[in-house]
Amino acid sequence: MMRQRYSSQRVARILGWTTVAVTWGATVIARGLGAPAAGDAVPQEPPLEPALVSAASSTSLTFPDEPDGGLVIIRGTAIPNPEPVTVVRRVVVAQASQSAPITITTEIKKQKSEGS
Amino acid sequence: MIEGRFRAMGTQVVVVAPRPDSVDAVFARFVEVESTCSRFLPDSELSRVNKDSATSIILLPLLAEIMACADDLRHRTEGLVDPAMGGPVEAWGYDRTFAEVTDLPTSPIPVPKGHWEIQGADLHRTPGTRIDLGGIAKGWTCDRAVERTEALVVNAGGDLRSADPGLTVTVEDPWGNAAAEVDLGLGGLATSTIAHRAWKVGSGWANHLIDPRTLRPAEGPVVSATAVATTAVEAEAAAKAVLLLGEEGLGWASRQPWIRGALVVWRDGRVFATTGLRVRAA
Repeated sequence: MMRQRYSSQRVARILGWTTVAVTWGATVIARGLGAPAAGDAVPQEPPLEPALVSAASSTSLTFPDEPDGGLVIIRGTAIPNPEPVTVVRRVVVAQASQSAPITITTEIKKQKSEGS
Repeated sequence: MIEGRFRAMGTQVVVVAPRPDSVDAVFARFVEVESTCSRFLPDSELSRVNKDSATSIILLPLLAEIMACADDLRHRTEGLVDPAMGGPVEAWGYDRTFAEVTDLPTSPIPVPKGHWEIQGADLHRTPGTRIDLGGIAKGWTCDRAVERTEALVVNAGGDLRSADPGLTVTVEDPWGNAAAEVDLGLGGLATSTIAHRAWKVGSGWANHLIDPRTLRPAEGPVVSATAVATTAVEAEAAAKAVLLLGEEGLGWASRQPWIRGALVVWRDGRVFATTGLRVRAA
């Protein structure tokens, strides 16, 4: 009787929809847990366009105007596989604007400049 | 040599100095300048000046000196780097420390920039002019620390002044990759980017760099610009101007005798430079 009521096709369909429902539910719960509380500042990194540009299409893009002395191309192709846009969750906390220095002894020949 | 680190002016400061007390001296200098020039500290002299409705005001020597430096750079950058952009910057939401900036539902009504001049210690300005010395004060402090031989190198969030003839600087792109290596040696280097200090406004984005020509956040093909000059404060102003000028930035930089060279990261990740830099792919 069971065999008649639940044909293999029907069982497969029930299993399929159950999987979809469970996946959807898990996603909703995960998003809910990750969502910031109301009032939190949630700035994000702005979308940077390399995600939309393939290395192959870079030749059709613009170039800087030619500087006096010529243009040096240091990286000539677009970034083919950029990191996904980062979403930063920032929680505002009271903090001192300055901190006392800490020092380490080392051989220092290199610095970094990542911009501000 | 030792390396000291501390936070000041909203950024991480790295100091290469001969002794720990030299690092302390640099720290004290940053504290002094920040407590004078910050628009986020309510008791700073700059905050008092911005709150004051008088159109003429006498500044204390430190602020007067930094304003004179800003005036010089305003002229050299043909008005692209102007501390009187405080009003428009605040209108776009950057009216508190960046950690506290929140998204805005809509674009603001444009606020005009102020007009000002400085003669000695006397600051004259149009009513409502609000001054923002953010990057200028940072670069100026790096320069002063190195010029007073308190440090060999001072790097304040990418604004860097070096008295080390062998110093190499790795310039990072906004995605965290090494974009290039610059043999800096003696001089100043600064990077300005619109990729990091950004927030949502309506369906678009705003960033900390407001273009004085449009009174809108900078937009264009350049997401990050680096410049090399004799001092860090010159490099800071040059980097901002190059970024704002977009396609024309490198060409403009190559015609400025006070800029040794410049490098830009394009929105698609490509990296270009003028010939004035000792630079190579990292």
